[in-house]
Amino acid sequence: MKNEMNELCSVEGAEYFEVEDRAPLAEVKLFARDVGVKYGENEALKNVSIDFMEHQVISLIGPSGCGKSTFLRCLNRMNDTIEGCRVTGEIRLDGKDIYSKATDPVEIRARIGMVFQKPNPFPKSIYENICYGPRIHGMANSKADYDDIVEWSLTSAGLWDEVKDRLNEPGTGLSGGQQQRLCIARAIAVHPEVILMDEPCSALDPIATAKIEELIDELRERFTITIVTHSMQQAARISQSTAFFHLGELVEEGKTDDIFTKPGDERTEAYITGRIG
Amino acid sequence: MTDNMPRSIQSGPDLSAARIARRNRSERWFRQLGILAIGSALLMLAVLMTSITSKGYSAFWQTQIAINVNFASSDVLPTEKVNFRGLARRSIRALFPDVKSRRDKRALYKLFSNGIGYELRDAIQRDPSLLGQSKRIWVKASADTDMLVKGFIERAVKQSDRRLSDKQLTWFDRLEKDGRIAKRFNLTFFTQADSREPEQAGILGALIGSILTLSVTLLLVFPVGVAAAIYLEEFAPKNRWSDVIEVNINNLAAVPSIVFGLLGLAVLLNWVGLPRSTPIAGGVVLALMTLPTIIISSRSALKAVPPSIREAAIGMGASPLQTVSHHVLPLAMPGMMTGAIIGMAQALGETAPLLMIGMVAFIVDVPGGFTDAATVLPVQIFLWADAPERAFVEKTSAAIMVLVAFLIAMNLFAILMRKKFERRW
Amino acid sequence: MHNLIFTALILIFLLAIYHYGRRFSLLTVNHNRQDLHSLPGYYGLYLVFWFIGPAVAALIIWLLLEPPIIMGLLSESLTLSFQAAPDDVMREVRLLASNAFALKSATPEKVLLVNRYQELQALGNGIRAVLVLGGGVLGVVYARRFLSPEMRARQSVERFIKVLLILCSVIAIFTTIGIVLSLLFEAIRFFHKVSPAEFLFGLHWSPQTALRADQVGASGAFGAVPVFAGTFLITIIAMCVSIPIGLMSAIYLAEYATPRIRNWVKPSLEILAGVPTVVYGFFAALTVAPFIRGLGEQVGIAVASESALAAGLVMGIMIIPFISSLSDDIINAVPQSLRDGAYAMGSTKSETIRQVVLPAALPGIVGSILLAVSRAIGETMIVVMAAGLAAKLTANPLEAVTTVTVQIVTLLVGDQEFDSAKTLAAFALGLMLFFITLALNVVALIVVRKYREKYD
Repeated sequence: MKNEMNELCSVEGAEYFEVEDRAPLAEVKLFARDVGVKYGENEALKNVSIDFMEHQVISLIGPSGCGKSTFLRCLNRMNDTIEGCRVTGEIRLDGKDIYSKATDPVEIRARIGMVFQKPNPFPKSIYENICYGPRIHGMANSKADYDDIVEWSLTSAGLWDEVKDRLNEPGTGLSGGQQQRLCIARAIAVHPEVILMDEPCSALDPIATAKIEELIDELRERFTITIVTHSMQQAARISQSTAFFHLGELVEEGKTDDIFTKPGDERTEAYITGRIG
Repeated sequence: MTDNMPRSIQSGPDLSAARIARRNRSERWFRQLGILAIGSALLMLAVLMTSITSKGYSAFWQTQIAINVNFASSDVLPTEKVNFRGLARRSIRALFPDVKSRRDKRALYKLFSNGIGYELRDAIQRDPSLLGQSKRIWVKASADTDMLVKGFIERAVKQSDRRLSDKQLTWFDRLEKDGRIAKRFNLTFFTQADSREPEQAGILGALIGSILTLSVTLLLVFPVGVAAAIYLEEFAPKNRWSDVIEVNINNLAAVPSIVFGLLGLAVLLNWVGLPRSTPIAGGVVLALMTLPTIIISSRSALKAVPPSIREAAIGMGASPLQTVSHHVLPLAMPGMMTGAIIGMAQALGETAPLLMIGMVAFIVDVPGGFTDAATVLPVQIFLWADAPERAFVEKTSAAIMVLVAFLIAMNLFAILMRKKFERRW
Repeated sequence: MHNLIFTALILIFLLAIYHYGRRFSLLTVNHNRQDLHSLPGYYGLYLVFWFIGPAVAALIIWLLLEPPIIMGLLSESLTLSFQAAPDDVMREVRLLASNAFALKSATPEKVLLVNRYQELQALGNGIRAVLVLGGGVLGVVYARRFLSPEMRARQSVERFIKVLLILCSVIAIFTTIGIVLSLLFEAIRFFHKVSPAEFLFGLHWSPQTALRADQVGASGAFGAVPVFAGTFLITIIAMCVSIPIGLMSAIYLAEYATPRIRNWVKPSLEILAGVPTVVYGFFAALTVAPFIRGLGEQVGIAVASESALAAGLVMGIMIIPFISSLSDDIINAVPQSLRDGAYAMGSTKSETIRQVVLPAALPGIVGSILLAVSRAIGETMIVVMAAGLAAKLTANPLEAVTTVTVQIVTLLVGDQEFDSAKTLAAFALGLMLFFITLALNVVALIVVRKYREKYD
């Protein structure tokens, strides 16, 4: 147990702290107050309040069933698609209430992109997968525009060199890691302000995971990223802030190194030392 | 990464109010298209049902006319020797003493069913005490009179264009004024077989024919279907042979029903030599036709029994066959029976293959056995639908109502059974 | 009636044998059940199966032997004039024997033959009963010698039952083979009279001219192209009605409808599928066709009273539930993750459906449409009642056309000589119908299966 802790600290210690220092001055991008979620009679989440800083990666961790994915899906109103799901509280994107009647969920989702646990490329060509978002949002005027978008998105997702010769092949033919990067490329092609990632590496092997993590760190420069993960090491490696959820509650939230080195709540400590979860 | 970002991306998604509104409009439009589709499908169902019911409900009532019959004459018994037809006609003429010419008399009789002689005979057989009395008796009106009462014959139409002449209409009016016209429940429709005369035609023959035919079908197809399903689901090795059987069953389920009729004609009638037009031949054809349905539904009932039950029985030392017959089969039985009822409902509505094996004949007797010539309900509907008389339209629709009532009852029964025995594992 | 009594007798016999076997096995071990290898009932069943096996074998052998024997005996009493074509005479005799009405008008010579035939048949029935019972009893006597406490009765019984189960599952195969062989056999006889080229490519269809026997040489025209053209015209009309309505209903039910609405609408649509086709036929002929005709009169277009449009429309209504329920299943099989992916990009629901769900479901939907097309092509009653009889090569939906199934029915219903080209033509049409629908089904089933595997 002790060894594991040491290892964890050494991984996070050396190189990633500098990254945070380079980050531009943070502002609150997304702001959640007293968010609660009920599925019918079932209370899945209660009283969650977090501020999401611009150009930061924030990890949501916790044992499975703790409500972290539910909370993530609240942030771009994906819970709307689930029957009998009710969201209470307040979530604001740049000060705009995303749950107000006047707000269109389509607009919110265009500004807050999402990457899912299992890679879910559309059963279309790689090219069409990327173009899908720009097309529905009317972003391009010509074939050349689309070509630019595809090249830039795939390059940003670190996939361009691997697929540039087979853009017309179906996206489902790629390997799992490539598919997930394709999904990230698809998400950034519409230039969202926030990207939500729901355990994006859980279905991938370690090498593919490392690539995605690297990519997430690069993307931080341009986007605000929230990532749900059940790997504490991953949270430590890539995020600047971490929020720990347990049994539908937000236990504590703070700088990643603080959470992992001097947790304020005994439940957090119990989780990161492996006693619960 | 920031430097070479294309302008089109930098500008971000177009979230202008106008564009969002346009997308939402197309969203609403698409959704309404869906509602429209469902609405039109349901509307068609409603039109179908109302059109049938509105045409058919009147067939359950029948116009009857009261005549005074004098059973006093000593020559009334024994019934076989009596000219009841003559008696009936005498009674009719007594109502209209002023009708003299033969042509007029014949026209007068046309207001009444030509089977009223039998009605008088039946009346006296039912109640011999009528003998020696003069009695007011209700007898069936002819189909034309019936149509007039039900409003299908327009008085305004030119005489030559309607089925009843002006004279007949005045006679009718007189009968009506005397209170001799009444609409009664049409018992004939449920107690008689087919007839050329609409007012004497009933569905009993076809109904019995359907029941006989379906009994043959059920007796053949249920054991065979269940046995086949048990073998395929529980014992068959998963190899190319069982694949062939499986594909074959799926394809057989989609073969047009008329092809089964051709099979029945070529093989069952001409080669095996089953008698034409009989419930036994029809039953076998329908059995072959429903077999794939029964096998498929029985297999899914077997599939629904969890493997843990089988493991438990095998673990107790039961043989595979004992496992199936003691544990799996009883648990799957409700599902199989539900499937069988639905298969029977399908067979009950089937017409085309039965036309091929001659069940389309005009049969006035109620069939008494599996080898009597018979017809079935849907074929009776087909025959009546082809008949030129206006009165058969309402009969056809009424027969359809009876058929559909049977189908709904069977399906409801299947649903209830499924609800009652449904088990979640 | 005799058959019923005989069956009852056999059943009583079987019960007795079962009890005998059971008692016998118990006696051999002085009622110490644990000394028996199997439960006592299995010994009873063992004997029962030994009765049934030989009895059925005897029955089959006799059924195969009976017709030639009867025919042989009967041909001895055939007069010379009949001997030219004994097959035809036999067929006629069999027909007359089952039809008392026709017998009245037959020649005395034939009546004699029929009487002799019926006598022989009664004799045959007697022999059959004796053979069946005798075979069974012999089997039991033979098998009794094997009964012993060590005998593995259960295994034997189970082996027999398994063979029975296999036989039952093979019946479906035999049905298919029976269909193919009988259609093929009659169709080949047809193609001896009419060349396949004329049948497949001829533009003129009027089989009715070859009605009388003395006209066989001058047979009618058997070019099936107009018949198939009519079938496809009506099918296309039906598809024009059912694909949009069925597909949009399926989309609405799968993607938009609340569970409550689904629970009401789905069964209602299934009622449409459960309505017998003869009812649709009646509806088409008596309600829809006059309505369309009246509509045409109002705008001044001549519409045939048996227009392809009326039959096609009603057939379309009938097909709606097939397409909607099959497509509903298919759309539900599209993984939710694809929808989530599209929503997360900011698509509206309809954009998600049109651009992601439907393209993903397309193979499955095409499969279900193919199944529906095969259903429409093979549908009989609607067209028999609402479409025309005369074959016409036209693409105008307001005219009357005929279809394959209509022709099969009109050629085979009513009196028929079995050898005329007219009757045989029905089987040739049936063969074509069978293969067309079979091809559609096979393709559809493969497509749908592939599709399901993709998302399982």
